[in-house]
Amino acid sequence: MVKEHQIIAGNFDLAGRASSDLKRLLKHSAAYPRLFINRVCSASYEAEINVVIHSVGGYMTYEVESDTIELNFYDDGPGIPDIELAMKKGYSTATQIAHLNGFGAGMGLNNMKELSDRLTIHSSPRGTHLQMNFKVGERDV
Amino acid sequence: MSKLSALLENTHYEVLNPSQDDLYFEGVYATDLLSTAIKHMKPDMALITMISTNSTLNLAMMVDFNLIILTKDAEVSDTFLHKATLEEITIVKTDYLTHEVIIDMVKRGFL
Repeated sequence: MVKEHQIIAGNFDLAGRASSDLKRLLKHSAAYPRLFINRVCSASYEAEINVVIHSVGGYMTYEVESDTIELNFYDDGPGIPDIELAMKKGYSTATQIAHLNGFGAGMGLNNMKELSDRLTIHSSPRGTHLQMNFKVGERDV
Repeated sequence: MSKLSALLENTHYEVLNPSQDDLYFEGVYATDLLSTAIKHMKPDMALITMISTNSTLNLAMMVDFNLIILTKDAEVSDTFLHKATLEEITIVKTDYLTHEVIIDMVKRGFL
């Protein structure tokens, strides 16, 4: 099953819609351990917030198969100039509004890396594609 | 597991929205940086914070906890409380600072 959600730049109130929808779907299926669902949805929410904070807008898709889940986040820029630097804990270009909402301390990409089983990022000034893959594993039991 | 009603025996805590009768929580995590909560919180914990935005509620929904303890100086809007109620997340307000909540919980055996 594949589904797509729009993510609006700068809108913290609507951030989380896509991840909430994904969570409802996973809970409803009753096929996934609770910790796995939390891991997937937490990473998804972090990625949504990232698009809200750093881009001019984008969308996410998720693909759910039996024991694997693939999340894709696409945005329309301005891109991540130095991905290696952006992955470092504490490095952030977030704004004051992000801080007021409890985010923007330079932990987002790192959290996504740790929560997912595989994280890949492709970025250019025209936009960023972030993909996360999840598979039910020992840490979810 | 700790019972919310036991926490509320101290009058420094007040429930701000309709609550489940027998709400339990298992440990707490205290932060105003929600990214650390995303990383470290486990289901059924309680979050101690002064961030009272939709992001806090979204976090609770993602991580699967339903008790947020808002510390001194946290501002609570009707919109926030309305959404919390819809999502069955209990909001407790206290006039304690974060470290005072922790001290109180340790003293009373919650932690």
